[in-house]
Amino acid sequence: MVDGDTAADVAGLSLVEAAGLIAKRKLSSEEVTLACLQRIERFGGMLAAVAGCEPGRALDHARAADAAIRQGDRAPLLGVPLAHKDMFYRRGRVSACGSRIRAGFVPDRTAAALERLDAAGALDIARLAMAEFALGVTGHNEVAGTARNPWNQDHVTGGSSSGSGVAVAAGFAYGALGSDTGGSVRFPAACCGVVGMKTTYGRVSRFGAMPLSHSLDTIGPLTRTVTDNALMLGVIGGFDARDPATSGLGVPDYLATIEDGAKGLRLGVPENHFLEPLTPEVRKLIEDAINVYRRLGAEIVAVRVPKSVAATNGMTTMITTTEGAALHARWMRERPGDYGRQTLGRLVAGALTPATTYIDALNRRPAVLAEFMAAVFDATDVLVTPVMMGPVPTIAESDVGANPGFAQKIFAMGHATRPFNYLGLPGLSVPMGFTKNGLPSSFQLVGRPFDEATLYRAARAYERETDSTRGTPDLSRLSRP
Amino acid sequence: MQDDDFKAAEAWMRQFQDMAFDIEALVDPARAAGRVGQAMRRQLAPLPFDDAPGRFTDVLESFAPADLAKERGDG
Repeated sequence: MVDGDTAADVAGLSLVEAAGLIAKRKLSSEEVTLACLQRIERFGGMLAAVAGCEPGRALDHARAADAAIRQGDRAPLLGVPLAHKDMFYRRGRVSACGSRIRAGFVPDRTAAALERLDAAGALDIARLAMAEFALGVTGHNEVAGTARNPWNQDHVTGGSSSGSGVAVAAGFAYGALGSDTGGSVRFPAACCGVVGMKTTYGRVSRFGAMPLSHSLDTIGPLTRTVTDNALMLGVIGGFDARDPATSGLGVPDYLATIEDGAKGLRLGVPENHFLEPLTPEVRKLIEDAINVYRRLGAEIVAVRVPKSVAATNGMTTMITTTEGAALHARWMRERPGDYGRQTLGRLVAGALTPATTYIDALNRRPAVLAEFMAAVFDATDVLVTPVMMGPVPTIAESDVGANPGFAQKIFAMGHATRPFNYLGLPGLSVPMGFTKNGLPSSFQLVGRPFDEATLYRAARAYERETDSTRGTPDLSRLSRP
Repeated sequence: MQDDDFKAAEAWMRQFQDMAFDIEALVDPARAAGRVGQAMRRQLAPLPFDDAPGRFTDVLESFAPADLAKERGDG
């Protein structure tokens, strides 16, 4: 048994710190895992963030990891407890995908990303809550329950990887996988004050992960620190013949350059589009972050993004819902009443989209990407944008359901995230402070394809200077909703 | 969109998608679907008729940092 204070201390470590202490046998995997499980037991229900957890099995795996360490095993994540969005399949274990339709679904395969984390020695201690079938930017889930923000339970977690953001922020696990088709890693990372990487399309295999849109889906880690995130991506990235979209480009050692600092880095600041609808307080936080980079020796470069970017949010939404409707067509015919109203409404929009419009949007990607690359990355190394345009909203005020105009409200939230799914570019959500309502706020760093290394380097320089990822929510204030 | 348009959408869904939804459930999705296509055609230039689109991962790789060696696979 670990007492409450010790559990909080242990669970408050970063992934890198925990892995180091376990490897040096200063802490056992069993102690660390128990600390996480105790927090899940105590706070998991209050935050509605956990879809499933088998403590006995998790502790068995932790003890096995401790035995392996004693025998000299040096796998990089050996004995470190992680937990993942409930759409990463593990053979023989239920994966409900935040839905009623897949409640009780037992997959026959294990996700490639989980296989790689397993091989690195990580533990998988819980299945985490998510928006229904990963369709939802706020974290609302009408059929499986809405997760709550650990900084303030009245506020949304962001979605669709809602439980992943909560679990990392609340110390239930040291890292979590999420998926991002329009912002689903970056929103929960931003709302919960953790680091979230939307990877380049093709960087991480989607084999064994629930599909939403084969043309847009990406997988990425959510973690407390930038270095933790780089460590996880280094493990899960790379070619996989089972996912035809994965790239054969090598995965660099992200940790080799992560401490290189921001001096000499060319940081692009958009003059148009991305900063236009910002609220004043988020604008001020972004300007402060840019000033930090200026102080660190980065070259600040004003850039105008091409006008074609204005169409990318809509095209991402349309491709997502159209491919989603094709995947869900059988259940839409046979079990429409088992979907939440908003999920069904979005899928119906996809079923109503003409095939010609869908194909047109896909065919335009190379040209729109080429135009964006020339306009932005000829003169810069990294582009900075917001993740969200304003403070994290409350659950009540953002509960748009399937009410009139809901599609337009969902559309507006993806202003700065969905364009990069269409373009296939990596985007890293980095905590930058808090708005007046006490909730976290983040900026986004966007890079060239497969250049996550530069994003980590830039984010780490900011993190080192500001300590922006060190804050943790006070869970003792939580109450039963 | 007018009421007649939504009736047509309902009939189209039934006939071509084999899906049955009442008109109320189709209003917002139909507007959203229509709006995106209209905006795309308004905001973007037409594509060249004769050029086939490439595999998107290949296009992304063409913009990747030069020092990332190709390690595995065709893609």
